[in-house]
Amino acid sequence: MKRVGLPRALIHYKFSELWIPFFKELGAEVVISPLTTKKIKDIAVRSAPDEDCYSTKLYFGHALVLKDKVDYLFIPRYGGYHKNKVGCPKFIGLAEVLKSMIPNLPPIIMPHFNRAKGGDPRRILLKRAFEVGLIFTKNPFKIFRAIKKAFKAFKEHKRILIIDEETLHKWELSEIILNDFPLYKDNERQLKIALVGHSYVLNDPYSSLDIRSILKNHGIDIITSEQMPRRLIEEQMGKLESDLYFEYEREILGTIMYFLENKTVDGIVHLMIFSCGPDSIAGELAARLSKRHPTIPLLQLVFDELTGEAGMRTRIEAFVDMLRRSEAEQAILLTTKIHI
Amino acid sequence: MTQSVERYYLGVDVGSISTNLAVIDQSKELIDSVYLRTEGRPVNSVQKGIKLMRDKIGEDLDISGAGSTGSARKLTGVIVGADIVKNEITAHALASLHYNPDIQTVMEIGGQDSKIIIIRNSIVVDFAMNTVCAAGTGSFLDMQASRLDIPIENFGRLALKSENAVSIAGRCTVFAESDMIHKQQLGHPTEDIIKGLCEALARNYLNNVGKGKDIKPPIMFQGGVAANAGMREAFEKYLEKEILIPEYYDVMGAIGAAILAQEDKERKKKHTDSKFFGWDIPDMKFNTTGFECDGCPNICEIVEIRKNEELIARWGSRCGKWDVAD
Repeated sequence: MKRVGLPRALIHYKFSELWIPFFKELGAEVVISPLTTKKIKDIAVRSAPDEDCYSTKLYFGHALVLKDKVDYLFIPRYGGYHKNKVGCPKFIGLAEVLKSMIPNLPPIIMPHFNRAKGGDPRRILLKRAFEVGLIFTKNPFKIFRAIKKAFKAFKEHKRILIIDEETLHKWELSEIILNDFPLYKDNERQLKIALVGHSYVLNDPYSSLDIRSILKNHGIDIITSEQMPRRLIEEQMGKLESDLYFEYEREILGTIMYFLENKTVDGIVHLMIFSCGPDSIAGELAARLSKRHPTIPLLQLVFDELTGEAGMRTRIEAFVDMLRRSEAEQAILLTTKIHI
Repeated sequence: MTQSVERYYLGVDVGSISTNLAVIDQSKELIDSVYLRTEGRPVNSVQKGIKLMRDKIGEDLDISGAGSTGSARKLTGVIVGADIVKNEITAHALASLHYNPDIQTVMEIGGQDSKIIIIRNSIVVDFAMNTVCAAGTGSFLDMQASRLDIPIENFGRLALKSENAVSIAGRCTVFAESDMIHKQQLGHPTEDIIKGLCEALARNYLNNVGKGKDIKPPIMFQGGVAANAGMREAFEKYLEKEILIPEYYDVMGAIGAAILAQEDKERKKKHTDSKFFGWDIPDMKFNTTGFECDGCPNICEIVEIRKNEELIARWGSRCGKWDVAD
C-alpha cells in the first residue's frame, strides 16, 4: 500500500475532509502529521526560510516530520476557490520551496488549482484529481468513485461547519449556544465572542496558545469566522470601497464587519499571524473599521514563535474583564432607570 | 453587613521589578503600603513585603480578603492565599477610577511592561500593552541611570534642570543607548542627555503602546516610572495636556488588587472567610521546584510549589495533566 503524507498545517485545515476520503478510497494509506508540538515548531523554525510567516514555517515543520514515513507528500499548489479572488501566493509555492530547501524528499504530488484563473472549475478539478488518482491506481472507475465520495464527504463537512443564517440569528438572540460547555460559574450572562482568524490558526491549539480553551474557561460562547454563512460575508465585502483581494481575508474581515455592524456579540477577537502579508492588510482595515463603530470592542492578537504566553493570557483576561464589567455597568444603569 | 466591624483588604502586585502591597479599609481608603524590589525572587519579595506590612500595621489587623495581580499574580496568589487573582489592567483601571472617577486615560509604565487604558464613563473600553519591546519601560531607565552612575531617584530632577534636550533615537533600547553614548562623546552635558532620553521614551511609548488610541484628558500617569518628573514633563510636552500623578502612583496595582478582593467578597451574598494564609507567611517555608515532562513532544516545563513541604500548586503543562487545582 502506498503511503501518502499530509502535513497538518495551512490549507490542510480547510481541505482535509476532502483529501483524506479521496486517498483512502484510492487505496492509499493516509499519514497525517500530528497536531503541532513544541518539537515540530523547533524543527520548523530551524529549517524554514526566515521571512516566511509563522504558519508557513510550521507547514515546513509538519512536512519534515512526515518525510521519512511516507512514499509521497501531498502538497497541492492551491491558488484559490473564490470565483475571482485568490488565496495567499505562499500556498502555490510551498511544494517548490520545500523541494529546493530539503534534499532527498519523497516525491511530492503537487496539482495546481486556481479557480480565479479561468476555465471551467469543475472540469479542471476533475482533471487534476484524475491525474493524482492515476498515481495510486490504473482503474478509472476507482478514481471516479474516490472523487465522488470525497466531494460528498467534503460537502457534508462544510454543511456541518458553516451554520445557516437562521441558526446564526438564533445565536445572536442568545436563544442557542454554539459550543457545548457549562455556563459561567457566577451565574452571569454568557458572553458571546466572535473569534476570527485563519482556519489554520483557529484550529491549531499550539500556535494560537489554545485560545479556544482559554475563552471556554472564561465561560464564553464563540462563533468562528469559519462558521459564518458565506452570503453574509460576500454582502459585507460589497460595502468595502475597494474589494479585498485575498480569499481567506474576506472571510476574516467579513465576519468582523458583520458583527461591528450588527452589534450582536460582546466582543471580537482577531487572531493574526506575524509577518502574514494578507493579515496585515485585513488587520489594519479591521482596526480602522472598529474605530468607526466603537461599540463592539476588538482585540487583535499577533502570534509567532516568540509570542509570550503570559502576555497573551493577560490581554485575553483583561479583555474579558472589560466586557464583563461594562455589561455589569450597563445592567446597573438599566435597573436604576426602572426604579426612577 | 454590620457597620460596626471594620474590614480590611490586602492587595499584592508583583511585577518584574517591584513588589507592592497595599491594605485598604472598606471605604477603599489606603491604610498603608509597601514598595520593594522583586530582585528576581518573587516568593522572597512577597514574604519580605508581608513582613514589612506586618511591622507597619501590626499582626492583629484582620484581613477580610486578599487579591493578587502583576506578572507574578498566579504565583503570588498561591503564596499569600489570595481570594482573587486578576490581571494588571483591570487592577490599575479600578485604582485610578477610585482616585478620580472622571479619568479617561491611564498610562502605566512599570519595570518591563507599559500599558495604556482608555476609559469612558468609568468603563474600560480599550487598552494596549507593549508587545515584544521593552524600550520605554522602567528597566531601560534603570539601566541607563546606572550606566551614567546617577541614582534613579535623581534622574527626573536632573532632566528638569536641562533647557535643551538632546535628540535621542528612541525606536529601540539598544540603539537609544548607542545614540546616547555618541552624544556623550560629543560632549553634551548629562542633564541634556537625560532629558533627551525621557523625551525619547515618551515618544516611543506614544508611538508604540499609545498608537491609534484616543488619549483624552484627564490623563493619569502611574507605575514606578511616574516618579520621574522628567517623564511627566515629556508627556505633557507631546500630549499638550496636563498629566495627573496620583499620590500613591507606585502602588496603584496593589490598591486595585485590594479593591478587587473587596468587590469579590461583597458580591458574594454569604460571608466567607478569606483564604489569606495570615501574617505568618514570612515564617512559612515555600519551595519551588521544576521538571520537564516527557509525556509528549511538547516537553512542558512543570513548576511545583510547596508550602512547608505540602504541595500547594503545580502548573505549566499544556495538557493540564499535572495541574493541581485548589
